[in-house]
Amino acid sequence: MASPLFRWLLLFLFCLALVLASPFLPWLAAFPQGWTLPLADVLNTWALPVFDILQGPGRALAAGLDLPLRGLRAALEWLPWPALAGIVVLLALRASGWQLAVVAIIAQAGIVAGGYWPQAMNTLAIVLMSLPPAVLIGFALGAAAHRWPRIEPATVAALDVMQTLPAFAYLIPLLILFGFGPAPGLVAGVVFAVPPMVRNTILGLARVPAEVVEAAQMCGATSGQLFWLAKVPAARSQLLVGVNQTVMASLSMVIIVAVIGGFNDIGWEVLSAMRGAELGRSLMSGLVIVAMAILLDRITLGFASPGRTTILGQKKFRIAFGAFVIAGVVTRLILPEVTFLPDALGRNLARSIDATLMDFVVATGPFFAALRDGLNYGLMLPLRIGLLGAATPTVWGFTLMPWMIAAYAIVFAGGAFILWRRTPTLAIAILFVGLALATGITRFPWPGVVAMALVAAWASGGPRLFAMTSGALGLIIFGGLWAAFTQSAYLTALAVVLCVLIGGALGLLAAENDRASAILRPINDALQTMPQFVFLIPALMLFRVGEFTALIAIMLYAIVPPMRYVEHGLRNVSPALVEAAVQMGATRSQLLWQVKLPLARPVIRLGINQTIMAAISMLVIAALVGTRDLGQQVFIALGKADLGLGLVAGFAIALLALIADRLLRD
Amino acid sequence: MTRLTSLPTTTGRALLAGIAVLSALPSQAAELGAADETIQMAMLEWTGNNISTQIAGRILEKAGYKVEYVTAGNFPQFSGLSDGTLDASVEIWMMNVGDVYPKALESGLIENIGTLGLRSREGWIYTKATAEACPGLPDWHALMEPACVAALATPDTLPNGRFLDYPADWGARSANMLADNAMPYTAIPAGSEGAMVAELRAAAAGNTPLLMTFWEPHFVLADVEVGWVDMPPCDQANLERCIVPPPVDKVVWAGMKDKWPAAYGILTDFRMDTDQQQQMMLAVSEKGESLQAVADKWIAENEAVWRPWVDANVK
Amino acid sequence: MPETDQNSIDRHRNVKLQCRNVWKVYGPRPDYYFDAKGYRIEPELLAARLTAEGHLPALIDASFDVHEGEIFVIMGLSGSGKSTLVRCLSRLIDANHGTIQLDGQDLLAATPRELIEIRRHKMGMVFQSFGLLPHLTVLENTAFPLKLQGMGLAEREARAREMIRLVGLDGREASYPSQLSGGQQQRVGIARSLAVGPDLWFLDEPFSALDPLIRRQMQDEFLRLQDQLKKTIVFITHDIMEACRLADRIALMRNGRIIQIGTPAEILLSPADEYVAEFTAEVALARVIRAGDLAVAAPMSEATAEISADQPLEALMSKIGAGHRHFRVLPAGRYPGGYVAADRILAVLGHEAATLAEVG
Ligand SMILES: Nc1ncnc2c1ncn2[C@@H]1O[C@H](COP(=O)(O)OP(=O)(O)OP(=O)(O)O)[C@@H](O)[C@H]1O
Ligand SMILES: [Mg+2]
Repeated sequence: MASPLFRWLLLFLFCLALVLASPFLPWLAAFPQGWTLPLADVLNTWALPVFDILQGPGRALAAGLDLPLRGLRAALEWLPWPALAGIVVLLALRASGWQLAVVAIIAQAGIVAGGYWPQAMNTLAIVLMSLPPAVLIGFALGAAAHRWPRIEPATVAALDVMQTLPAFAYLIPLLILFGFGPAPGLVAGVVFAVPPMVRNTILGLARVPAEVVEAAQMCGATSGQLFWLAKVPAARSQLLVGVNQTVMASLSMVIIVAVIGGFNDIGWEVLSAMRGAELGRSLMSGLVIVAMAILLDRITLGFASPGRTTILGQKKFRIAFGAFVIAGVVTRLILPEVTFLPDALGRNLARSIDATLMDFVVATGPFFAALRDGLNYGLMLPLRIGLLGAATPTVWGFTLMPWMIAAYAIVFAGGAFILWRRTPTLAIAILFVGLALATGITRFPWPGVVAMALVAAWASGGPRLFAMTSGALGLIIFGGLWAAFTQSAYLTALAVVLCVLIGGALGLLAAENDRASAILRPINDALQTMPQFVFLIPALMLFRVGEFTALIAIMLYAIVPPMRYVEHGLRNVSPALVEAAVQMGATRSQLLWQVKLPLARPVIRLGINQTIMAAISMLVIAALVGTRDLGQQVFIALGKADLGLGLVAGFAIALLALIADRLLRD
Repeated sequence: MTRLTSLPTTTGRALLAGIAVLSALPSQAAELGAADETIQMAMLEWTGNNISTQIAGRILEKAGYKVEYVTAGNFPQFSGLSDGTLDASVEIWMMNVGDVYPKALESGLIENIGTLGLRSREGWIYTKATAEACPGLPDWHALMEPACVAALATPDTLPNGRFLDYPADWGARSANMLADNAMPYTAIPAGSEGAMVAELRAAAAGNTPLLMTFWEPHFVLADVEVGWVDMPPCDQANLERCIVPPPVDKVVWAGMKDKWPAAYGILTDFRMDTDQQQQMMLAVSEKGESLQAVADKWIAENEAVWRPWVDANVK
Repeated sequence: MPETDQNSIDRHRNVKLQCRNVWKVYGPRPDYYFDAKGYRIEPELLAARLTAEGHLPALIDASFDVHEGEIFVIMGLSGSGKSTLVRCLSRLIDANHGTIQLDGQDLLAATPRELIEIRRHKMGMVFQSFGLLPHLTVLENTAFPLKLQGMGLAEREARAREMIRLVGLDGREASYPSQLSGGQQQRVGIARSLAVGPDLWFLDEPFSALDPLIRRQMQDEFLRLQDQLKKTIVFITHDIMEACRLADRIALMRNGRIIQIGTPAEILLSPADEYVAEFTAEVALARVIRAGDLAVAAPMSEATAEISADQPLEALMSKIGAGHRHFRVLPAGRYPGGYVAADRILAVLGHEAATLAEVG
């Protein structure tokens, strides 16, 4: 095969030829509907009978899960909240210390004041119930992958799919298998929460120092003793980190699967508030989730940290714990009906938030409308339908003359020609950008996109990635999802570029300025833990239904990784190297551009990778504000109870995320 | 707000009672059935439904049943109703049930026990600012004027005007009607009910033009003033290409009739008055009263309405 | 390595551990090269071929005996294959070829069950970075091998306490490894490896992670322990001074090969090749070579002074300065004793030492 550069140049010429030919061959621009295969139908005819067979065991499992779940829920509901809150504070004290205990008090007071205590407890019940199976399954899978390294790659790939497959895509199979009620949510929570446990188990076991293992072997350990008495205890803190991440993953999934209903949990609150576009209610229930996430995270992390010193000894803890439980039980027996919960406080607060938002929308409406229209005309439209599509009298107010096209071509070709000598990679990139801007991302001839994706996959991932990419593209093309796919690609690409630019700049600022860092950190935390539905409401009110709002919604979530990773990468450049550069007389900006940024490159690259994953994972949620992408297909499938279409679209999204991850990994 | 008073509430109530009496006549008094087992009532995402459900539940309790209210998603509820995890859902709007409902109905696992009796309406609505930009509204011809189209146009839809449609998974009746009448509008699917409500609220507050498809009664119409377009002609027989007022029905698990015969009868007779429901919605979402309190109050004040349902069905 | 060189001292003691033609090769398919039976291996040719075909011969045709009660030091630079060798001996990794016998039993043929038994009763091992279990206290770490054997709590803790006292850590039984200094952690490692009362004791660079002062202190401690316990020891180090201080015999390794085996004096005084000579050049001979190393049996009537055989030559300098020219060497430790002349000593120490003697 020719040199990589030459290969890409050939590919460019191929694409150029396709673009030039597409006015005459319409099947090049859009994949013809007649060529698709009824993948979804095939899936339906084959999968439905399978699900019918599995339904029996599935329902039995659901019934088995239902009872303890209801028991736990009833117990949490029955105990007066001050007793439970006291126990949480105790746990915080024991896990970490006074600081966390104060956080626990404030957070729980907030939950009670907002009026969401029962819902929070119902959510907690599902999360707690999902924990033991997720941890056990995850540990067993991780241990198996550790024991038989041969199965590890397959395990990791399966885990990636489990984590990237949008929950809405498997809602229908879940409902078929487990029926209506909390069981499907529980199962989805387990499915989603298993991967982090597996990963941490593999990591923890692999990280046990070789000498510890050898020492145990030399003490005459049998393989069972080696595993249970040496490896597992030595990997304890990593395993506990796994438990922590399992809790968090389960929580985030339980929130989403609440869409099924049946348990009156906090996720349900967020979703039904979203339905009514009630920002106040949705923001408050979102904050409840943030509070729960923080508490669950810090408490489990506290128990996981290896050098934990506690101010509350085992014995005192037990006594206090028992005291709270007894006090709670006694109170409840004496006063069986009193809830001790405030009634209207939260509702009033929510209403005033709504009113404030409306005032804000009215006051800033013209400004945001101008912003939206400017970006729409100037950036999104040309990206989507290309200069050739946008330069029309109705959009930009003029018609494209042949000389304009010629000038455009000359500018890009000339730029590429000049750069060719010094940085040929950049030159080729410019050529591709020029071509894509001319046709628009969604109207780029599909054989060109397929060829580019396959060449890139082969070049960076070898046969395996090539096979995976072919599979994903086949699913998309023949599943009739090409148009939805180009929409997704366009939205994702735009969101990622903007996030990297804006988030990167903010991360840079945060790395250089402690105050900026302190301000950005809690914002990042909230953006990441707050259910995304909450942000949709203000975005919709300011920007209306449409792509732009979807873009904003995606960006609000995907902007966190670039901020985090850029700051982290820059701040963790070895101080010795920084000192050396300062010693050599580097100015602050030289230090940044020539020393820190190049050194932080691997971390920043990881951040970009995470940005793409985050953007793709938001496609489904963004569909709630009206898009035409793969995420929307998932919802359409949900409405039609079309299991096949849902799975095809869901897997297309999952595979896209996987491929993007693998392409950028090395 | 004018709609609320358009039909005096007393008249409404009288009418409702009349319907109740009429519908009570043919139903047979029956056994309670498995009264010690709890009846699971679906509570969907919106306030109106919650009020209807709470009231229906209270009536069943008066008849001697145990009732539990279970939150349920609009699509997933049919899965629950099919296998008896949910027993009844008393307010289902038939224009956004996707293909899930017909499939479930076909399977014979659920049963439609008739209308809830709400006075429903579906069609195209517009904000006040739209009326200024398109003089001649509510006549649909006003929407054809270039100035009106331009006022509603956005970058996504140029050169057409923008029409905010139902989410893609609720079907495309409006889009078809626009096409059938050669109207220069592009239908933008909203993605979710929340998106429609959010945009409507924002457009009303910001006084911007907006044309969209919608239905009533809906709680947001209690806050927002809108006009209804006099719809262009369509073939009433072709439900894919024509908008007619959507049925609002009650659906129960198919086993209900045998397990709780009296409850089945009560729910079949159960009707809800549109104006009363609107006022209760307002009380909950604007005055901050709790759902339970509102429902209790209705039960206390309307014994004349619900007592006949109970008496006619319980032996 | 000629066979005759091997047992220059201690010929009278029993062989505890015997190692013959042991190979360890890393690479894609190492066993391919050793599967032909009865075919005589040419070590140099095979090693060259392995390297050419993308394998790494980490251990090439290693043969030696370790005698009962001996401190056998394996010494070489980093990457020379010392750890590989000791791991083959303890069967933490499996050699590709060769035989290893412990008390006449073929170790390479031992089943996993037998191996566990051997490790539980006959072998102990100390690791460079200690290999302590982070979740166990000093006491529990020390008792760990006994626990694996199924010994009762009281009994094993009593035994562990004894070991902890032996290495001088009493009072720290309840500490966790992370709360101890490096030297203290290695004492725990030593106590643990001794808890089962092994005959054969492997130490892989046990003191390398410690700073020089502690290292010296630990070496003294180690010698004191060995004086008490009389184990058979295979001790790995890359520090020639440490090797000379501790060893009865040293095996010098380079690139996977054992290039010389002998007592410290033999290695210092008659290096097998340039490399060994260069290696040992830095060593202060006067401190390392002992009177016994130079002693001859033939009596010298003119002997005017006496010296113990385990004294370093350094100690003789002042006596030579005082005019003594012939010494009677008294037996000590493994040295049989005899006589030595000052000329011989000065010749060994060379010019530098000669000037030192004059000044003295
Ligand atoms: N598992 C392995 N796979 C491949 N090569 C290995 C492996 N273990 C060791 N080697 C190689 O074998 C050679 C000998 O390694 P060994 O660990 O025995 O050296 P060493 O003498 O103990 O060095 P050090 O003093 O650094 O501990 C080295 O070149 C090393 O890279
Ligand atoms: Mg080593």
